[in-house]
Amino acid sequence: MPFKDDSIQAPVLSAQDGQGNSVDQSSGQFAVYDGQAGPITKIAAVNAILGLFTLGIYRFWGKTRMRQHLWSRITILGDRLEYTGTPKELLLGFLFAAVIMGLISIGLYVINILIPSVEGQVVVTILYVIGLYFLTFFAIFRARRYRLTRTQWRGVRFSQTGTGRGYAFRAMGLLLLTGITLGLCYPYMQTRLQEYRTNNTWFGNRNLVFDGLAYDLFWKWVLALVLYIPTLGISILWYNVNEFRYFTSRTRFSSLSFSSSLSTMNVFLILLVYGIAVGVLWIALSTAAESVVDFGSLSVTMEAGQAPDISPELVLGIVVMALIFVSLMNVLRFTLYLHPMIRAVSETLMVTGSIDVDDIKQSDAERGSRGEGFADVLDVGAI
Amino acid sequence: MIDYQGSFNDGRSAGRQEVSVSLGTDGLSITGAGLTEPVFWPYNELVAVDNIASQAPFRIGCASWPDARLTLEDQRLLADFRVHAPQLFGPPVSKRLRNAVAAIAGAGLLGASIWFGLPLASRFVASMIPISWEVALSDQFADEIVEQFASMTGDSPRVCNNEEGALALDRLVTQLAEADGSPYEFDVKVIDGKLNNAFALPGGRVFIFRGLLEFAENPDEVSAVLAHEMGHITHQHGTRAIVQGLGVSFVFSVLLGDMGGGVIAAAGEILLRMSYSRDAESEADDSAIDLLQKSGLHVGGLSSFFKRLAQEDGDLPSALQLLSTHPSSEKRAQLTNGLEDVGRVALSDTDWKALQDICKQ
Repeated sequence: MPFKDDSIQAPVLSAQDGQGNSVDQSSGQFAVYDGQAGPITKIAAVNAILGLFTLGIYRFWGKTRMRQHLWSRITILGDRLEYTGTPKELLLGFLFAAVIMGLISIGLYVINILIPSVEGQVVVTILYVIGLYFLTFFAIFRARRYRLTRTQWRGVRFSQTGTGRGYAFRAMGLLLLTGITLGLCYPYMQTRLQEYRTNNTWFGNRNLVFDGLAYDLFWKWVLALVLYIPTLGISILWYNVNEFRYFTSRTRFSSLSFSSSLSTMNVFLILLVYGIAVGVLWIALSTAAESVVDFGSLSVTMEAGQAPDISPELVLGIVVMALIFVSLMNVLRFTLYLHPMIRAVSETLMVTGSIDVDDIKQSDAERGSRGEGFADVLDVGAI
Repeated sequence: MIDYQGSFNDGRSAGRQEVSVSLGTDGLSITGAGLTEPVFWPYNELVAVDNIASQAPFRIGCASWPDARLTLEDQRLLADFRVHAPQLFGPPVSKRLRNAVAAIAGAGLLGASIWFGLPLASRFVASMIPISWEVALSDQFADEIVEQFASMTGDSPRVCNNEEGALALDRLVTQLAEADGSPYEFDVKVIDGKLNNAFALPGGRVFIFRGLLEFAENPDEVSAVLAHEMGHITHQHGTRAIVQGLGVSFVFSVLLGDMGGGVIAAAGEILLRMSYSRDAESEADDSAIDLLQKSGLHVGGLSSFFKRLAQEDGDLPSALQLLSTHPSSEKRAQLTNGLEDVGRVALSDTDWKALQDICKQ
């Protein structure tokens, strides 16, 4: 049988009995990720190219293909995850969200024309920004639900309770609190939101439980803020990694508890390589573009608005450059950021405790038929 | 008959049963100690979860039992599956080709309907917008735009309105407006700036810079430019461009979603706007000739103005005209060729002098 280059033997994870039906270990790696840069780059590149040639419509198929691949590269107790979402669901969700967003945009524009006073327009703009934040949080939570209900392990589905509305209201309130306290309440916001997300996450008929306290993160956050300037912002990364480790350690599933030894250095190196690659790409493309096109005249004519006296070469240059840059960025994001991050997280994620998985029954949660439309239209930046 | 070893998830719990699988004539028989009763999966209901040809172990499911999974490893199974359950290896090449052709055709159709449909749609939407909205919109931005144009030559935007000049301007505008029958009320202002330009805003406002009055050699050229700008207003070019811009940026950013639609939307908008404004300029030129003839004025000013403008600014190389905003000045210089130019001069010598001096205080 000829094997393609992406064929991979499933690593056998040390299940404790022959059936792999119960975990009982002092501490072991929870998930094995065996994704490789080659196949992931290939899928991302195909998606980018076909996405452009179909005016973006292919992305629903491309996303599904990428998720199927990534999910199936993650093995837990000898069995791989499975992504069961379909492109049609994503397309439906997108159409639904696009229509709603379109109506909102038109309504706002009309309101803006009809309200001549500056004060009125400021009020409308503020309401618009608040609404956009609300929709973004709403979208994040709904997209998470879609992905969970389309994720299976051993034929049993994940699911999510709670509502997008509930999450968005909580997030807005907590964001306001964080703003009023000049950022000091940030760990509180993060902890409460993580609590809502985790406690509403189910595998089959059992849910995850989170019992973290913001206080445990508070001084680390203060330290990160104090060191923000001397460390050129790296202290925030350090805080984020610590927050992730803390949240992991405060998450339980039945009698299983988790821990992560993800290191700041590891994440920093991933981001450094990714950042350098993006920088090099940007410089290379803008140098190439500048040798063809003179960008100097752009700023004046764009502002003048009414009479765009821009040369055609300039526009073509911008279009071509934007297309190449955006496509390559999408590929780099998977190859140099998401892939190494999934690997780093899975390699450092440990599980302790014992569980009889025979007792976990299938989820009977509603699955819905539409994909994560708002997350797509609003570009909340998930996988 | 060979028994293959595998593992089975029944879709009801997360447990895993070791099973043996035998291939019958109609389907798979699955038996194992952990199963309460043997399971039978017909070949035609089998669906592949993984790419079974390239991955081992691989998972399959059964359409009538949606959550159950059978994990198998033995490569010898593949030969039997190719015969009995070819659907496990993905759609046949012919179907894939058909899908590819359909996808390309669909994308082409989508692109074409955006390219041709958006201008039509924005024309329709613009025609539905009440004039008072257009005026309100222009009022919001007029000062800012005038200031930006004026700052291109380092001038501050002052409206010129000394008494004689304003009267002369009014006489010129009235001649054109009365003949026009346009529903718009035209509000023409001269700005004290060196820029050789004029522009129109939706709803009826026209701004002429002093530079243009100085560049013009006679009142016919100014009345031609004025008629051209009034054509923009009557045909709602500005309103349509705004509606179309909104449509394009929305369509592109939504279509491309998280593929970086924002960047491409901006570029796409410029491209479409350029192609659109080329048509708009031609339409305004035609409408200007029409209006000048209806008012009984000289039409020759339109050509002579653009002829001298071309000599001054030079022109784009012909290969690039497809994308440029303005029709070539050369082409415009010939617009009124062969037309019977029987009209009168728009302003008396005194009025023309007064108009040119409108900015003197």
